[in-house]
Amino acid sequence: MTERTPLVEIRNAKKRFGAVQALRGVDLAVYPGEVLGLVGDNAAGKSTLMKVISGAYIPDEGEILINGKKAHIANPEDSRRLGIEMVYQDFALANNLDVAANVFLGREMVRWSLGPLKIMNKRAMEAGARDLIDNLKIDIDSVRLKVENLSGGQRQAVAIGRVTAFNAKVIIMDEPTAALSVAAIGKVLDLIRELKAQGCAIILISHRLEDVYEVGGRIIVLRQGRKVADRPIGEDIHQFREEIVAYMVGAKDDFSPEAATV
Amino acid sequence: MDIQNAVTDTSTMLSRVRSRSPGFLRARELPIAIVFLALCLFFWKEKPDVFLRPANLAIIMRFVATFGLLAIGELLVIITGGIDLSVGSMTALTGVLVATLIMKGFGAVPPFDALLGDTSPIAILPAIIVVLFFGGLVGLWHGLFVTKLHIPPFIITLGTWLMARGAAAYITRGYPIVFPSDSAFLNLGQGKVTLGEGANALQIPNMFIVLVVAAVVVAFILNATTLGRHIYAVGGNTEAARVSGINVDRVRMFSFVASGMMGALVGILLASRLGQGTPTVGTAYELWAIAATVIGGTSLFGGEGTVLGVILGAAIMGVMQNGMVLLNVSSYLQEIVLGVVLVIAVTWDMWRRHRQT
Repeated sequence: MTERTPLVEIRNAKKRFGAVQALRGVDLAVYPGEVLGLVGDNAAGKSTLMKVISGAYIPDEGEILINGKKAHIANPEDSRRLGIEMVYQDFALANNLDVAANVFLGREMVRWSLGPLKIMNKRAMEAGARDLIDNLKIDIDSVRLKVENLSGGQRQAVAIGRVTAFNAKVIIMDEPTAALSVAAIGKVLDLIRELKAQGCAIILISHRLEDVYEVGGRIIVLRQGRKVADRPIGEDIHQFREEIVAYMVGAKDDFSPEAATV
Repeated sequence: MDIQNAVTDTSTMLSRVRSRSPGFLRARELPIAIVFLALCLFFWKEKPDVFLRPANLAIIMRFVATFGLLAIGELLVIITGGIDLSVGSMTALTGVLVATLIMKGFGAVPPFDALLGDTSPIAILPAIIVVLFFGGLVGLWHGLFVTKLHIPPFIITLGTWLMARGAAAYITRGYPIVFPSDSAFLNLGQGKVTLGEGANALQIPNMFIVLVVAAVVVAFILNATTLGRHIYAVGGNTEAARVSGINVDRVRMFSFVASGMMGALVGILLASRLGQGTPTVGTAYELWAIAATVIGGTSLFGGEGTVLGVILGAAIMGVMQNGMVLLNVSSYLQEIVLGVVLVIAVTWDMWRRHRQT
């Protein structure tokens, strides 16, 4: 690794739910402008780890550092304020609202306040959404289209675009290509590359190793709540696949050689 | 796959056209408005000398005011994914409460009573405010049960449906509380504003003016404020709203409080119109209000619906009922017809929705 300070670092994260130890002391660091793949079998702890970073869960042990400084994240608002944003698997979009409304959902631009009522600045939000869509080179004709009229790929693009509207430094994407057609997947990967070029750090959780290979610079494999691999992506795709699967099933383990089953 | 894409492309194209066309041509309300106008035309042709007479129009307007106000409250609750079955019984209870308060001289406190006497409009204001507040409290009660105890809205408002009417009957021991004929309170529900001169001067009942004011306020909230947008978001995708930082509980509470206050408002207006607070008023009104809301294009699944739509829905029901009375249609048949209209409206809406996806 370089001497750069990680944008977000989590050290020794531990989390248990009743009898289940979901995280057994995981370290993760992500640097600006990198795409970090996070893979592992079901129940490996990927979602739990991301929920800890995004403030949805409080870890039993462990600390989170933002730009090298210790941060206290007690809820999702805290992590959002620190620039950590999450794109959910089902996009978390309101289908009955249009693109502009979804981009600014929960953070609407206010023109003026009438007591407890806040009057929205719809024109500014439409312009803002339009700029965002154009900047990210997303192919949507009008930001006044209702989300329910968009294709799966366009919806995912809106969901991703949404988090970038708010100075996200780290974007966590949970299975962004899971429900998409081949063409749409290509578009989402382009979007990820665009975001990376703009300096964001992206943590990409995916079952599709080919996607991680395509855009990722580094990969972390979790298995049963522990980190078993943390390495750059460099070799050819087949070798990559074989190695990663070996990590996922426990045949290889960089952090505890004696725990490997082979 | 090809057909699916074609359908998506077509509806996207339509949506594009709609989103760029002027507001009044937007898809949802236009068919409802056309049906309304068609009905008006039909009944005017059938009974040209009666239908458009000011007195008859005033009757329609009072009907639309009564159910339109209740429907506006239901609209807010239904958009967020709930339902309010209590409003009919609440009109009875609040009517009885406002009558009890005014007749017992509530609000006629010194020095006002000496100066103004209890037939003055100002004297009745405290009673009205207290009862409106009570309606809001009942709404808050519903909201708390739904958001904190996770009781389904259907159940908790059904409880009030039973309790409110029972409470109204209990308070009055079954007898109506009658206002004196010179009470200022009667002006609210029985008064009207006259526009123009002579026999054909348009009479606009005060109740209808109340409806227009309420409609403008609620439409403004829904269209122009963050609260309104959050209401639609909570109904469209509650989880998306939650992770976006919207206080879902607070939004739902607001909708129930608003619906409760609408119930109280209508109860007050009806008590004024009838000249008495009685526990028998408003039976099944909640269902008529829901019907008006649905005919007006509101989806019972939440996330969709407009104020203009529900008022047109109430107007369609009002014109239909009025027209059938003028045509001497049996009142039993009237209810059948209104039921048929409701089923047609819902089916058409589902078909339209299905066609889009």
